[in-house]
Amino acid sequence: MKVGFELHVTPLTESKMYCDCPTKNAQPNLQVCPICTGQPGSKPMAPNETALRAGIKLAKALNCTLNESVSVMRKHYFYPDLPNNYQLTSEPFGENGSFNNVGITEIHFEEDPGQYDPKSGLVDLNRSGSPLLEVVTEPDIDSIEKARDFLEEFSALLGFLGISQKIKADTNVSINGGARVEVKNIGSISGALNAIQYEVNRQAKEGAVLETRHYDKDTMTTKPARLKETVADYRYMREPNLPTIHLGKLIKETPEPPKLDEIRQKLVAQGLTMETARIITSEKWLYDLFNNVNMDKAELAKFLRRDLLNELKYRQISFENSSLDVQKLEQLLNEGISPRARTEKLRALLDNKAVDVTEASHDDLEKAVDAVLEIEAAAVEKYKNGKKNLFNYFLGEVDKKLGHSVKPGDIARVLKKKLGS
Amino acid sequence: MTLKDRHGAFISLTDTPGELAVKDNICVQGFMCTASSKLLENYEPPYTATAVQKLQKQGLTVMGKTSCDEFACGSTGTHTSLANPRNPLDEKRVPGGSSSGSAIAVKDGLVRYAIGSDTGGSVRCPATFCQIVGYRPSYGQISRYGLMDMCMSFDTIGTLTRNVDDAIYLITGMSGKDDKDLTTMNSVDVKETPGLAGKRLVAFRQILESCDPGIREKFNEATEKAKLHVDVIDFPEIHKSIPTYYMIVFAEFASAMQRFDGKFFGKNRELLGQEVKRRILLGTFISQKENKDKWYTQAINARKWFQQKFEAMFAKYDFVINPTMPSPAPLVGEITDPITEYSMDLGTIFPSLMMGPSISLPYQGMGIQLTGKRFSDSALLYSARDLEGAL
Repeated sequence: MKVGFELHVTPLTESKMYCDCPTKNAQPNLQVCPICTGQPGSKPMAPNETALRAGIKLAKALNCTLNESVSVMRKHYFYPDLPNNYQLTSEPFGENGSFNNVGITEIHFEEDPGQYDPKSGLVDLNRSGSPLLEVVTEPDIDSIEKARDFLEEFSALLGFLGISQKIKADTNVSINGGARVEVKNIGSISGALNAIQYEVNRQAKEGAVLETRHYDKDTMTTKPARLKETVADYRYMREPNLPTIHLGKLIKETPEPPKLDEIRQKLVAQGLTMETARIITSEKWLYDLFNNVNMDKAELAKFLRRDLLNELKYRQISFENSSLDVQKLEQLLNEGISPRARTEKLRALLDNKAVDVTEASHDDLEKAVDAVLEIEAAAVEKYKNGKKNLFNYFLGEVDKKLGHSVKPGDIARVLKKKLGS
Repeated sequence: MTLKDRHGAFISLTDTPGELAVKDNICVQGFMCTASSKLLENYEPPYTATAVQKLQKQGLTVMGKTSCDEFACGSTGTHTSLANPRNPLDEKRVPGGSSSGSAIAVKDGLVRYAIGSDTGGSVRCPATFCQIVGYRPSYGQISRYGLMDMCMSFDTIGTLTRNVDDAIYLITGMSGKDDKDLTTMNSVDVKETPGLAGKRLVAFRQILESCDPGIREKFNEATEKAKLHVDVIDFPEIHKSIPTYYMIVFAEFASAMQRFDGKFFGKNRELLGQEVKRRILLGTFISQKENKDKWYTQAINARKWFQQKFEAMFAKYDFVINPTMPSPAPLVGEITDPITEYSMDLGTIFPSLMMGPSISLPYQGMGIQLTGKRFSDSALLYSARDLEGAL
């Protein structure tokens, strides 16, 4: 099998590609203006610089040769979500790259169309004109494993560079030198892998014709596109309303992005497992946090991975949108409290609750142990007569009494001393 | 309506008096914007063109939207089913196009100021036939934001006025960079500059020869009267400016018209007129993959050739002078084939190819056109004011 991707990345930007409309979510058709709704007479504004910078950063990370001047083209086709019936798409600003042993044909920027719901026939233009980076790969992938590996690494790279979390993967699949089938509407890595597997089986059985199909994530199958999406001729024409875009200055200002592999190796050398290193580098904010918080790195990595990520995920919020910041986190981590108390406090911080998690003093611990052992005198007797597994029961009771505020190891130490074993 | 719009100048008109008429392919909030097409009869733009906004800020009130050739496609001004534009000087004759209504409104005294669009002569042609002043600015002098795309690399917003001073007033008000039209430039303010004295003028023999003898006579009379010294030079390739221009117009126009499929904008495409359909079909044809190199790319290269040729010429001369139109205004219905209509534009197309400013002054039923290099708008306007005084 031969697989190649057209990866559509939505770079994180405040506004759209050719107008000032915001990109954040809103009620349908509220974040629109004459430009992104294609009103007759409107013209595109200067391309969004944040999107251009993100594209250049990505092109560098994909080891592309960069072009300093690109024209923007009109790509003509009719589709319900495209107000102008042409899409603005740039000439490649990066070419001939490679990433993870897969050739990168080119990278260019374009504008997203709106969203069309074929069932209701409604179109939402909030997304219309949002920036997209399109990365086209060579058909160098010859197995599902290689496809997974490539997509996971690509996705990690996007996260690490802080470009985006949002990718769509149009996937081209052919087998035995047959016709190339393009599968669209794939919004996740697992979706892409399912689609490839399905297509390989389907093409082996039915044969393949040059066509566009849509992936259905519910049935994990592909279906022929409802509307004709491949046009014989897009009548590419230079957009006369936009002068040539000169990227020389931005290219110069964009530092060579660090190599993800090398960063991970460095983290492993600091005592992290490879898996933790992968997670820590999978998102820019997380890696920045890891670098910015001053404490033992291995322990910090553990906290970020086990606690922070889980708690954020549970609440479905991003770090940026949470009430946390680097200072608060640093304070929390350097308080020297038990992991459990720390988790409690983290939750309280995230939920904006004024839960006062105070650490029990050494005296409190001694007193609690004494109290438990006194109440459980009968059990203590049994323990001393050889029923050693009661130790964990005592530990649990003390922990409960202290409201989980003391590290279990500390409780165990005091218990052992008092029980005299 | 209190006004007597006897010659089909307006498509929509307010009751309140105002000084400014705007061609109906330029968006003004509060008015429909039909481009003189049945297809867009119900289109109400949610915004106002930058150029109009600037004039409104200066205190001008838009009184109405003027008729034109449908989607600005034509030189007679009569290719529309939404109005019946006629030449105020002779109702049997066409007003000239495409900005016909704007010329009529000024000629009839319904407004003092009018703006139109000029892609290859669309303000200078009706200005000539209606005997007023028509000004096409340099490409990039005035924002096109809000002007419906016809041929994006030639389109400009121009003025139709009774005299050069009024044109200077409008052009000064509308000039300048706009973030919403990236082809506009900084530092293009119109300033009073020395006029015609000492300016070197050139005319092209082939353009003069293409004019009716009567037009040629009047042209010679005018240059003598104004005591102009004009070098007449050979420029046989100027005839190629027409196919060069129209190839690019067709291709870009087909692209611009792509959005009017009835989905968001416009109604049934069957409502489009013959000339508009012709241009869409030709434009689609010549921009197709298999035809592009033969037609579109060649035209783009030819435009480059013309630009270089003119750049060299403007090292020697300040302005090109010629009769704006080769003949008097044709009778309504006289012109039946597109080639004849296109060939009327020989005198007005070359400024579009080289992006320079061009002005047409009325003189005894014909037009005298002066054209300068790109962004020589100040010099051209003040020289034209001198010439106006001398005629």
